[in-house]
Amino acid sequence: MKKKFIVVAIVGCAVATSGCTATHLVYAQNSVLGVDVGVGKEGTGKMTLGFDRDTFTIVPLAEEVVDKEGGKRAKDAMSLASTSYVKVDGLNEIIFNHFVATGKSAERVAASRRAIEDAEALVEPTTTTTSTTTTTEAGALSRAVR
Amino acid sequence: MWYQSMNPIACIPLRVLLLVLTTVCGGCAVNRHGFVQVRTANVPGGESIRLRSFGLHLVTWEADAGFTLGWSDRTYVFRGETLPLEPSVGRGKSMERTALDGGGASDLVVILDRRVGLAIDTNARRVGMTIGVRRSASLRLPANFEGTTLLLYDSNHPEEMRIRIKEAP
Repeated sequence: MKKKFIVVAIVGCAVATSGCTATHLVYAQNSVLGVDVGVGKEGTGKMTLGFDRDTFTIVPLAEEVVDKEGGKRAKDAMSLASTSYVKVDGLNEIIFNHFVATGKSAERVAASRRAIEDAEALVEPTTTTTSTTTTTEAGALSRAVR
Repeated sequence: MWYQSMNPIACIPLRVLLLVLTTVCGGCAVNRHGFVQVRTANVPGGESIRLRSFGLHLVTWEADAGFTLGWSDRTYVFRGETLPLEPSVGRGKSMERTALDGGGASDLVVILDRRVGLAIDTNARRVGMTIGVRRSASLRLPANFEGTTLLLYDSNHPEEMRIRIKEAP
């Protein structure tokens, strides 16, 4: 009887949370060693036994847009341009670098190859630990996100 | 050993007792009060608070609610100069108030945590349970955010963490 109750509770949580829409733009990295059971808005519901590691991004839907053909309202993903550098070593060490541009800034970054390269260089760890000047955007990227 | 001759079922209360004793010896904490080490710091572009505890740690903030029985190390990073710089107690209260706003708190942008033992999450992000070791890192921006964000974090050099958020005008 207790087992049935636990199963019902887990399924109930999954149903309750699966219909939710994301309220945040999320960049996540999770590592688990052992037993893990979970459901939620950030990530998929799953059960883990042993070791598991996942790195993912959740892009929420933007506001409703009008479909030109049918005039129907539909939701589209938000404009997003990002570069990430995530390095994981076991359960102790992690490098978690991200550059994220959204909206008009994302459109401008995506339109410039040089800006994308600058963004990639920005999150590379070799360029991030030396001086304060490394965290300011280089020319093309700076112009794109202005 | 003496306990090897005992009935396994009879050992359960003993195990529960050991678990409770571990908790009591380790200590209990609720949010940032109790047996928990709290460190607040300015990071370029934001403010951070780090909570480290051993024993039972109950967190009631909506964005990260749950409890851990074991060891936990959590770091929250808030953008901008949202918290008063002095005194340190005041900063903590401001942080708590901001965090209480929960999943909708736009100032809370980074959550880093590492937990060992039994961890149960009942927050806006996740409902679940972990027995073992769990480490997670997340960068979270509101869905309606427009602008750029830069996060640089290395667990080997946490003091060099940087976050810079520039909202589009």
